[in-house]
Amino acid sequence: MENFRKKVERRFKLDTLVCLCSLALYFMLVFLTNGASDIAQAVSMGVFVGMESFAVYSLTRTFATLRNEKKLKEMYINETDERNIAINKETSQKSSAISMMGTAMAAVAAGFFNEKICFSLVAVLLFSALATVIVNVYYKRKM
Amino acid sequence: MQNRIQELRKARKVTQQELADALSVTRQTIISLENGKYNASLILAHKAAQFFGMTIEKLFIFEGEENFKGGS
Repeated sequence: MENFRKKVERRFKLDTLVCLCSLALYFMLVFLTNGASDIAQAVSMGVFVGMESFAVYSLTRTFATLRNEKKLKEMYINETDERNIAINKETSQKSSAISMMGTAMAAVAAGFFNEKICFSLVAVLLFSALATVIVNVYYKRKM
Repeated sequence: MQNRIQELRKARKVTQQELADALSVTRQTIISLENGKYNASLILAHKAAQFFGMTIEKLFIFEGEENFKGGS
């Protein structure tokens, strides 16, 4: 349990770092892309707000958990519960395969309308496939 | 794989939550184990066997090779 408390404390520090880094990154982007299009600014703003919101939510939750032994035990059980871990594994495997198939279909459809979008989607697909292969090789060597 | 968790738990008048707390899992995991929807890992099987004071073989009933997902 003490190890888990240390893990949660590390997570709290990491969340704080993410919060500060995304804030710094956002202002750097605003400064560097002063004359950028509205859509680019809107996207960077959206990503920033999303990251900040998640980091603040996670910070608040972690802070409250660290101060309450019962909540810490609940969090420990939820995170180490083997059924939950198995569900998460299955979910990430299946959703990754589904999203890759979706991207492939979108790339094919986009090919009929816009070349740039089609190549972007193919690049995303190739990157996802490469990431999957690398992670797979890593775990094959590790286990 | 079938198991005798529900039968033994009820015989000892232990609630699902108490068993879940003792094994450091969620109550939902106990429900899934009892319903046969989820097969316990070796570690959880060992913990459960220790809790009920018996061997894994007596707690979990192995029914043969059809249990292996990737079996030929």
